Amino acid sequence: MTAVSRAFILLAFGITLGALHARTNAADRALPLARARDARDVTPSLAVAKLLESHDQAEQLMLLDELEPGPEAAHAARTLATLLRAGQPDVVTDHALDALARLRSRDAHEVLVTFTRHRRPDARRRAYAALAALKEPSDSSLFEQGLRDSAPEVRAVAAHTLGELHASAMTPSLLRALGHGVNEAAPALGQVGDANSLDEFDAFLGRLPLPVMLAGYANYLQRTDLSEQAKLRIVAALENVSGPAVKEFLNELRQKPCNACSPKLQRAFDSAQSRMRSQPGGTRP
Amino acid sequence: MKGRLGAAGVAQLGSRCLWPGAAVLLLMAACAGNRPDATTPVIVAGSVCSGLVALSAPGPASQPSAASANALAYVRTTPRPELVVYDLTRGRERFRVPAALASRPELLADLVVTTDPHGQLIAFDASSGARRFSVKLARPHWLGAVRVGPNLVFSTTSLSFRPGERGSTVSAVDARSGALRWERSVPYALSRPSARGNRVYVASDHADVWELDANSGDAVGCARQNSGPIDWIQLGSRSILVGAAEQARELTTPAHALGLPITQLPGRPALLASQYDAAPAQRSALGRVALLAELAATTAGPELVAARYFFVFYRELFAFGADGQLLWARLLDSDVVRAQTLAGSGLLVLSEDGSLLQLNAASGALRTLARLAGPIDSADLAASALAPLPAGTEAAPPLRRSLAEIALDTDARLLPGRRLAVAALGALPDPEATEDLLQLYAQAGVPEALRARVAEVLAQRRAGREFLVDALLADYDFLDDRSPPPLAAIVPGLVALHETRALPRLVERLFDPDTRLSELPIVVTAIATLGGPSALPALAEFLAMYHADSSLAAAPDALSAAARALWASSVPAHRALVASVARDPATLDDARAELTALLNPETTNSAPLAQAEPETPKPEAALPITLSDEAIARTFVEHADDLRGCVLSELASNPALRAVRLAFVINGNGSLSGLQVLPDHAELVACLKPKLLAAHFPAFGRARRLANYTIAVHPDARSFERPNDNAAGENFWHFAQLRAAGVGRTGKPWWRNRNPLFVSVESEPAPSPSASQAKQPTGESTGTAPAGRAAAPADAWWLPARGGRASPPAPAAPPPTAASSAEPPAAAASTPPPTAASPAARPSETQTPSDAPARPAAADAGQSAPPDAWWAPAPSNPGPK
Repeated sequence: MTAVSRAFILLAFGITLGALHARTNAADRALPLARARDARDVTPSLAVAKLLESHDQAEQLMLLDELEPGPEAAHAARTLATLLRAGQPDVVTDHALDALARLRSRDAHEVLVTFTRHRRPDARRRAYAALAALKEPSDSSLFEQGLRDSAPEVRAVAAHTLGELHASAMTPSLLRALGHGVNEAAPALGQVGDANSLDEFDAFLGRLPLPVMLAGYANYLQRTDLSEQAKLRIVAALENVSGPAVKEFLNELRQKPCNACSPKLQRAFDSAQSRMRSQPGGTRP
Repeated sequence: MKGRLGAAGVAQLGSRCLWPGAAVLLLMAACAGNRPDATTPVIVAGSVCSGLVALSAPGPASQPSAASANALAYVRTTPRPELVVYDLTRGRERFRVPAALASRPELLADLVVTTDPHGQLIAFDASSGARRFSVKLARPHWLGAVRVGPNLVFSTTSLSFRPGERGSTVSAVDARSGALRWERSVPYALSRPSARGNRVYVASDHADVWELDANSGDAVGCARQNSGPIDWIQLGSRSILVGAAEQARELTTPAHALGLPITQLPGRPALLASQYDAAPAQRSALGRVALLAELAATTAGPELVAARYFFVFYRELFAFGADGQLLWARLLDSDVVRAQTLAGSGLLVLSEDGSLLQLNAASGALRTLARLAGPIDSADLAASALAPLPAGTEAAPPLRRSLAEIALDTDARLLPGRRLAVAALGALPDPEATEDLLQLYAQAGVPEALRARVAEVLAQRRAGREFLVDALLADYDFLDDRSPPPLAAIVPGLVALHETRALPRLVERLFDPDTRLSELPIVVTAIATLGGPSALPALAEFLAMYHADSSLAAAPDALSAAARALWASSVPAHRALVASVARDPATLDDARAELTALLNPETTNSAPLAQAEPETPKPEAALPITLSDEAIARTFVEHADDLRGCVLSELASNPALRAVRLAFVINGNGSLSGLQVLPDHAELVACLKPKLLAAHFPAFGRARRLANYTIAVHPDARSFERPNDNAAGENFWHFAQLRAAGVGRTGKPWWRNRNPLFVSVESEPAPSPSASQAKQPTGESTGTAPAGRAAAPADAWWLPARGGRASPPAPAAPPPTAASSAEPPAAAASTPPPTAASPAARPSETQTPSDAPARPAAADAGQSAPPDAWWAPAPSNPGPK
């Protein structure tokens, strides 16, 4: 047998093995997919019932991912609460919490509060995100507690949600969080802080990264409940910092439609922008 | 000169005079001329002084001069360098003179003595500040001075690595003119002098005490102790106290030693300051870390005056009873520069900011005597006539408050002192001490080592239970910089006290994400113990919620503990839960295995359920953070016999072996890995490796630490004696040179017994051409000595490089050995002397050429170092590689 023949036989053998392996993998993947198709075929309440009975993790995940808000959301939420309290592997817990966030059912509130104290930071973050989806202003104190969490990702969600909830009573906590490096508190403060909070917010200018501060200022400037005088102070403070980033920021504000921007404020944007250097170290026009 | 001639000395004298030929005749003539009489000191046991010359009892102390009786001399360098003398009696400054100084000033009768950076001794009049004289120092490093009548006696030393330069000198100058009265030099270390009456005492080489006549410098007595090193001498009216480290003993009755429990004190202060240490004029730790103990000699040995001693650690002051019990503590505003005990009644303290404070010895009550202009760099106090501070002059703060103040102090330098205060707080019965400790634990920025120590101390406390319960309320808070409570420290105490009020808070901690994993099993066990059936629902919820969660994968013990408690309850619902968790394939593997064992005790051969008490795992806080060198050494001691066997086997094939160096990694669980052995001979490694891998070190908190250990291999020097050819009238400084010539017998070094892995090499006596002429002596019982042994090796460290006062007799050629035959004697003689040994650490063991194979100089230098000395050089050649 020549070397070429031997090589050909080896190649053919290898191709056969590869094909067999590919078929096996395909079969493995086909099983959960088939189960998923089965899951899609059932009604939501049946899917939830199957969820509790199933011991197949892939099937559980598929069923969880299929859950959407609807008339049976409350029932599904209660079922998921039962599932979560029974204790699940990480991935199932995470998918269940995400499903609860989609369902937005008040029936899951209690279990979600419980999971804001879960040992796994990722589970806590998802629980806070699910609670945020409920948009309950009464949960502000819960999110304020989230600002005190040991995990940065949890603090970030809590800060963001406090802004979304317009929890102005939590402004002091958000300012403290910003001082402790929770950057997400800056845009939240822009959403909830009043004119008095601006002085304390301005104090972070130069200490925190400029993009963080600009995210907060952007929200302050777009507020209709903030006085024009306070907004002019913001422009003045930004002009003191100056630089291309600020210039671009003001330019974007100028170009965007802004209901909260008075003509005087628009002119302040223009004049501040015109006085700023376009490049670092460049001369002022 | 006092002394007597030993029988061995007489016999050796005879052997000395057996030299052949004309040399013998000449030497015999010399011997006849120098025949020692009954008062001649005899050199035995390798020491220049072997106790054969008795020291005379110290006489009465001379009265302190009025000029220095109550004075304070201090040095400032800011804003300009100056020397200031303050009169304590009058409460005013006596004088100040501009001076850049090198050493701490000393108040000596009517003089203030110090040195300058140019190597000069400068003496000022203690009353007026007039400069009396200046004298060039014999050696660069000043040790200190004493005043003896009209003379000023001081010692200087050279720390040079060059043998010709190193050594020490005792000098006496006239205290009025500075004229040199006498001067004695030795090529090794001497202490600073002490004086009593007309006698001066110096310790030589940490081993001998010499008594000199203050007028002539002649040696009038000597003594040697074999019971330990001598770092200081303190003279009483009828006794001489000596000591080192934490021990003091009477020179003639060393068995009655006084040992203070001070080894755990920060900075490891000695009972008295070493007289081999120079005190600089500049700011230094000397004085700032110091033990102040007044000693008195009794028939039972040394005793503490007033049964108390004091410890200074920068800004912290502690007073202890003789048994080590803490009496009081104070935190000062600035560092202590110098402190002095006041005849058992108190302390006089000068701090860096210029505060002169007097403290009551019994209560720690404090009074400020003066506020001098600071900052003060160094000072000397002479407060012999200061009235003690009456008790109750000023209320002293309670000990607990003082300790809390020290423990909470944030001075980063004082961490060891804070640890000491924490331990003392933990020992107090006051319940509030628990609160102080908890407050310290919660303090932001507390170093982790200190926090761990607080947790250890708290775990031992039983007082202040209400504070322990309240501490459970404090949870982690990112915004408030609050740490979770030290549950491992708090909970055991609460369980021991059966404090059921803690139960709800313990349940909160069980579901607190910031409760440390290592503490969860403790919390679970405590809930089960304190709560009984009422606590089971919480445990059931915990088990169900976390049985499959990866957050507990690293510590499934908490799940197991909860399951055991639930199973033991016999409540069907709880048992069903445990059973279902055990069956659940998603349950964490380790936890499932434990639960399976719990449910099927017969099949898994585990303990019956009824006896399955939840175990309290050892909290991490109980472990040391890392492993100390002492702990490593202890483990080696436990395996000393095994390891010694390996080294001896290696010695059989490698006679030149002088050290086995081991480098390795100790893992947190106490196992050893990554072993490197030098020499890396396969047989040696194969012998050592399994023994060391089987050794188990104590567990510690960190993941691992690097460590190394050296097994020293020392030739066992053979004893020999030399005849005493010492001429009458020759003094102690000659003996060093005689010893260099090999005159004397080496004794066992004091440090030998401190290294448990010391491997002694019994060198075979090499066949010597002169053996047929003179039989080799082996000890004192042998009255003869070979001529060849009279010589020291040409590269012996103690030989002066140049300018030796008395040349030793010409050495006979060492007997040829396998090693020495490779290098001719002439070449060996020209080998440059080793440079590794310091004069302050001269070994007591002398090796003669015929005791061991001739080796190059570096190897000899290595041999002269103690096996555990850091400066011991590695055997460079012949290397074991």
